[in-house]
Amino acid sequence: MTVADLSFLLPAAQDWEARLQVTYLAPAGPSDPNLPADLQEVPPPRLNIVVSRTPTQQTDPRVECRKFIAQTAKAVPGLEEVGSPGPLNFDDGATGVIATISFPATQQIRLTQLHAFRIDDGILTQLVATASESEAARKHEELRKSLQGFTLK
Amino acid sequence: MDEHPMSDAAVAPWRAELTVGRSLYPEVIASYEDVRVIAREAARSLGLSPPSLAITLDARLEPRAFRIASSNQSETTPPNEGLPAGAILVRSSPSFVRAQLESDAALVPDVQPWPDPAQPNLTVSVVYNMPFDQVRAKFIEFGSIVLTAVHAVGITVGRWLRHAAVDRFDEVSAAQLVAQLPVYDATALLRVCPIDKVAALLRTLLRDGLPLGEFASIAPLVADESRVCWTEKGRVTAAYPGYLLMAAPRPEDEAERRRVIARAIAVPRWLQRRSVGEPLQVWVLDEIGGWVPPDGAIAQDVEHFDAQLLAQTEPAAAANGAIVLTSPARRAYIGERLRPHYRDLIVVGYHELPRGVPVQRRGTVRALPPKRSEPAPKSRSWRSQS
Repeated sequence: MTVADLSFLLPAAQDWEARLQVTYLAPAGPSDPNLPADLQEVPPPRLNIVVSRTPTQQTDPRVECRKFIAQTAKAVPGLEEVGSPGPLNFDDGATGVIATISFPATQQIRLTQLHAFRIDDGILTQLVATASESEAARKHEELRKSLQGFTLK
Repeated sequence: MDEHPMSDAAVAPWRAELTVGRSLYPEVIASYEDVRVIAREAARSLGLSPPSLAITLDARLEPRAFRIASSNQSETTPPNEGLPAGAILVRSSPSFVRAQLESDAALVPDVQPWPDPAQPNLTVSVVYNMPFDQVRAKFIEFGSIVLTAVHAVGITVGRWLRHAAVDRFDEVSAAQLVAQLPVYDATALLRVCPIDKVAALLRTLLRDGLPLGEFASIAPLVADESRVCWTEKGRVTAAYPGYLLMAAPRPEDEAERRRVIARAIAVPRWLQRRSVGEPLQVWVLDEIGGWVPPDGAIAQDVEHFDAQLLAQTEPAAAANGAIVLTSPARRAYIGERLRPHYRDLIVVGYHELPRGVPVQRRGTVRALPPKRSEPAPKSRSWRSQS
């Protein structure tokens, strides 16, 4: 399923302000032949990327990033910032900012998220890549590159 | 089960000595009962009676430092750093704690990172310039645990006890547990398994990270192995009252056989309690697509395997409550390889999983065979062995 497959019209709200959020989910891993067939298995958290686009008055993505971190830190116990936010040069030439946070999703699972922000013509784009902490440690650069590849049509 | 009330002095297998620096000492003495309660709880979670705890002042230590050791421990353990005077520990991240406190303009607290006394690989927060009750009131709604310097000492003592229990568990400790069994079970057990072997078995269970609270269910099966039916074809290990259907190969070695029997009772019950409604987080050893050194492998090959095993299980060791899952045939071997490096990481056989508790596969441990000109002996999966 692609974004084009999911595009739609909603005539009744066509004059309303629109905001967009798209979620990309990595394919589920294959089953493990080592495990007994009758084992009750819960699928592990899937790597995902969420893209949100909303209007903004701001012109500096660093301000949006700081605002987001401050709001999230208040709401999520156990939230940790992994390093400081830094600049991100997108492949299409735009400049943004990227921050990494981690937080406990359950008692046993910590998630890591990469948040990238950019602003184009009054539209804020926030890209969020989410993985379990252990997976993120292995795939950090790959996730960063995925976010960096965001381009406007 | 008959229960015999015993005094601390009568049952303590080890005597813990807590040596405290001069600034922290008055606080520890004033809240001695808090430390004792935490230590008692840690011992109880292991299925052991509480140790006696002696507290002394050592002016040579840093003023806020403390050290824990057994009375008969010859080596010196490094001192722990106690919380600074007046600081409050909040078991939540500094970002979160700072954000909560900064929203209240009336407060001017200082929040700094601090290692979690319960899980030192996690970072929690210390808060300065605020009274304990005010901090607790602020964070109680979020379920964050708020601790004083003395509580943090108690938690460190509890963590030390879990490790010390393995090293200090002796025949006296074993005899005290046997004494709590019904008389018939105790007699039957000691008839086939002298106290030194009981102590060895229980020490092994503690080393495997298991509490001894299930000993009353284990003892009758060890005492009478005709109650254990071994089946390598089935996959279900089922404990019936006094009987056990064991889906694992029967070890020839007597001590290992007792260990497998004991674990078949202890592991599923312990995992069930620990799962608290969440799936078990598992890292699975790939024995079909991966390579495991065969019996009699040369040291170089074992080192090659160990390096991969340690690197790939590192995330499991860092995750809270994760387990490594293997076939019954490989469980003991993998456990031995990992224990010296990741003391708290538990290795579990498929047959030891509790029924009704789902698992969530977080990773696969897949070792590659060593590269060399002649082909390495191919490892056999546990299925092909049965």
